[in-house]
This record gives sequence, structure tokens and C-alpha cells, in this order.
Amino acid sequence: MIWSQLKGIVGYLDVLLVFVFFLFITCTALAGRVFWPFHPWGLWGVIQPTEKVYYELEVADARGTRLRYDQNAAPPILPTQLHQLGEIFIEPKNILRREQLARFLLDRANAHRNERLAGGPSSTWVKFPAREFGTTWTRADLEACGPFTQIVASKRRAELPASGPGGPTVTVIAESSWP
Amino acid sequence: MTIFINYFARATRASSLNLAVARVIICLYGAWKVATYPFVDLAGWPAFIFQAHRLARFTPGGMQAWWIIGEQILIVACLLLVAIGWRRAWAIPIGACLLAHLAVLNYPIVNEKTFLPIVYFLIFYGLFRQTDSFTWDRYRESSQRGAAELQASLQNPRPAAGVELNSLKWFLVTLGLIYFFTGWCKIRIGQLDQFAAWAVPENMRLILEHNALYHIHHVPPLMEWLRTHPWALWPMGLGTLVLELGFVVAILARRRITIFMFALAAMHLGILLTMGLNYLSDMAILYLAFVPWDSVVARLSRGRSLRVVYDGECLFCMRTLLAFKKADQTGGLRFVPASQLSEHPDLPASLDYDQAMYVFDETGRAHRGYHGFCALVEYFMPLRPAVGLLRSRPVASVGERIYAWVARNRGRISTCRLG
Repeated sequence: MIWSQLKGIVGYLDVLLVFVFFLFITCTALAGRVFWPFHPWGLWGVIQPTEKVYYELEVADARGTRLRYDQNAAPPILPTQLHQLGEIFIEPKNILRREQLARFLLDRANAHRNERLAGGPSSTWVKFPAREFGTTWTRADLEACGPFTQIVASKRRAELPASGPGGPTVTVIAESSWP
Repeated sequence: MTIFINYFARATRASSLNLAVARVIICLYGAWKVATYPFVDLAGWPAFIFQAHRLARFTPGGMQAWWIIGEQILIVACLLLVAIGWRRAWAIPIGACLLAHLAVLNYPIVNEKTFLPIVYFLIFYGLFRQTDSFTWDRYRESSQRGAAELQASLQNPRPAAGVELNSLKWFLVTLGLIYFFTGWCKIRIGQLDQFAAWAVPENMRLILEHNALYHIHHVPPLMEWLRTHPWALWPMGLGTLVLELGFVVAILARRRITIFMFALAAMHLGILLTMGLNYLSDMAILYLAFVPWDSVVARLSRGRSLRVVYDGECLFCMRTLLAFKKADQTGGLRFVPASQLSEHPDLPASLDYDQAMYVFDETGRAHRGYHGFCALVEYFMPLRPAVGLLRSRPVASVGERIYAWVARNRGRISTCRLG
């Protein structure tokens, strides 16, 4: 008797938990805010403007030769979030933070450069495919460039075409480097 | 034939085989994804990036590499335990909580969401885990059952009521909602008179250009083609809205979802080819949870029948055979206790049934002991590739010895309730 009542309560608990789960997943999506582990799941949900101001991160060697920062140098970051880090350099709210981040990115870039020139990185495991396939440094890119000595961030404006065969036109608005 | 099941329309199946296969697929996928993801590199990132994030409450006291590796190992261990169905009562909550935690540590750096469906699956699987009978936990529980009960289970036909796979039902609704919210945020941006403002070719083109500039830094060949063939952007935009918004409607309206699943996979392939963004490898694996594996097994083993003669006093033997019985979707497996051999005059009486299990195939050919076990595995066609390995000389040699040891000691094993 007690056992069957307990089973009944557990059954109701399952229903309640399922209800709470769907309540949270729905409210999070409608509110457009993350309430971990629930996410709004809004992807590309805006009408895109024809003009975009964005940030770019590059590394430069002693001669000033530049390469766009390779996301593989500082895993697990992806290209999208690298652009967002560029803002920290152009519009720094905290100089110490900028230096800390620049030192980290520069160290990682040189380590990755050395690894690539030595034939790596080698992995014993077959990795699960990444979410974004950005471009990566080739051996030729790295051979044309010495060890990296600077992080260069730039604020850029891109005119994006809504039609026609051409690509975007990009102009640099501001630039900052470290050190 | 239904290729993907709408569990919201009908969650009841004859057995829990589909849930077991979904459990194994998603847990092994999760284990692979977690084990090879560079979580440990998060430890080197400047702490302020995490502390400045609105989810900073999940990263108390910074992140040490040893702590992250420890969590990663624990998650993989939990997922592997759930995959084999052992100690699920604690492996599921620990695995789900730790995975949600590692995923949120990662979120401030990379905004990665693809670990969440694994967490959601674990939540629903954990809530309804009792329905899964293909687990090591269930095998252990069968040690509480007596010989008569086990024998009755082996010889009785499958219960007519079937099993309600609620975990797959709610997981399917969750996936449907994820797509719906992705589509919802696209249509709510327009006014009512601009319902499809998002899907117009100009906006589609700008999305592609924005992505190439900002996300992947190159123009994929298909995107290059679309630049000169903008008419193709119309079906892409509208198709995306219809699929994202319509999938959950089809689920809740209890309609067939096979076309939606294939179309969504095609959509992800299109996104991969035009935008270089890969959600396909995650979603395609999750879709496999809704394949009717029981129908696949039934179709492949249709027309086959085996008779298994076993020791009706050996609890260990019966518990093991019960797993095969549960996986049998066509009823082609029949189990005969050696003590009831007289009721089957067509079976040879002179064999050493007290020494080993015998499996007789449709032609009457007898497979003894370990080879009988191989014949049972071979009966399930999807497992057939494993049979070649099981019958290869080195594996068979070891297998025969193990079988012989188990057969010699089965009385003791049963008494000790091994497993």
C-alpha cells in the first residue's frame, strides 16, 4: 500500500520535473538570456546591416610582417570570439587586463608557431569536429614571418554587399599594438 | 518504413531496445566529444575573462588545470558507465552536473552550446531510466530472481503492453523546441507585415558575407556561387524558417518526422558548405536516437530462428540468455531447458547438455558452448560484424577457455550471484 503510494508520488515527481524543465527552456528562450544549463538558442536572429564595425586581431614579427591571429593557437577559442577580444585592445577599460591578455596571446601564438614549424601539433586522439572551420596558418605563412613580437588589434568598418558578385570593402578606423 | 520515430505520437515500443541503443550512441558520442575537447587549455586563459562574464558564479576561485582534467575524466567515466548501464543512479546526475559545469566554464571563451543536448538527454534518461532493461544494473537486479521466475521469463512471449520510452519522447520535444526557438528569434525581428523579412535574399546574402568576414575568414566555394545566383537564397531562407519552426509543430501534432529529420540534416549540410559552421556532426548523431533500431533488428533477423538448449538450474546462464531474449524482436529465439528436452523429440538427446549450452539453427546444425554464444550474437544481424572477430582463432581460443571455465563453475557462480 505504502509502496504503491510512494510509486505514485515518484511518478508525479517525474511529471513535475519534466514540466519544470520545459518551463525553464521556454522562459530562457523567450527572455533571450542564458540561465545555465538553459540557453536562448537564438542564432543569426537579426536583420544584418550593410555596414559592420568590428575588431581584428593580428600578430606581427620584428619586421612588421603580420598574420591574422590563428584560433588554433589559443584553444578552445573560435574565430568569432577572437574578434570580440580585439575590443579589449582598442577600447581598454583596464590597461593591466590588456597587457595580461596580450602576453597570453603572444605566448600562445609563438608556441603554436614553433609547434607548426616542427611538424605538429600531433594528436593521438581523433578529435570531435570543431564547430567553426576558420582559416589557419600554413607552413608558408609561418616561414615568411619571424617569431611574433607584437599583438596588433584594429577597429575596422566593412561595407557588406547585399547583392552583386563582389565581396566586402574594409577600411581600418583605429589600430593599437602591444607592446 | 519509418526512419525516424515521433515518440510524442507514440512512445510505446515492444521493447526498450531503441532507448538502449540511443543511450549507447549518445554516451559514446559525449565521451568522445568531452575527451578530445581542449577544456584543459581554459586553465591558461587570463582569469579576468571568466570573472567579467555574467556566468562567473560557476567559476569560483579560478580554474586549475588538474581540476579541469579531473572533471573531464569523471565525465567520461560517468558517460561510459551510463553507456554500459552500470551504477546509473549516481553516474547520470554526476555526469550531467559536471558536464554542465565544464560547458559553462568554456562558455565565456567560446560560447559553445553543443554540450547541452547531451546534458538534456542525461536528464530525461535519468528520470525514466527504469524503462531501460538492457543495462548492467538490470542484469544485476535479475540476481534477485529465482530459477523458476527466470525460466518463465525465458519461455514466455513478450508482454503485450510494451514499454513507454518517455525519455526519448521528451528529448525529441526538447530538440524540436531548440530548433523552434532558433527560428522564433528570426521571425520576431520583423513586423507582422514583414513576416519573412529575415528570409529575403538580401538578408541571406548579408548573413553569408558577415559570416565569411567575421567568423570563418574565407569564402567557401558554394557561397561564391551564391553571390552570382541570388535566386537560390530564397528557398534557403524560407526553407530554414519552415524547418526550424515546423519541426516541433510536426512533433506535437503527432505527424511523421522523417522528412523533417532529413531536411534538417540537409539544412545543416548547407550551413556547413556555405558558412563553414558545423552543427551537422553533433545533430546527425543526436538524430540517431530516433531511429527504430528494434524494427531494423527485426527486419534483418526476420525468417531466422534458433533454439537454445540451456541448463535450467543455472541462474547465471538464464540471466545471460535473458538479455538475448529481450533483444529478440521477432520471437525467433526459443529457449528449451535441458530438463524439458523430451518435449522436443526433433532435438538430439545424446549430446552433453550438462556440460555446455547448445544452439540449433534452422538447418538443425548444433553450435556448442562458445560457438553457440557466437551463433546467438550472429542472430542479431547488426552485430554480425562482431561475429567474425569472435570466431577468429585467437579470440575464439580465449573465448572457448573462458566458456569452459564458466561452464565448469556455473554452480558456484550462480550461488555467488556473480555480476
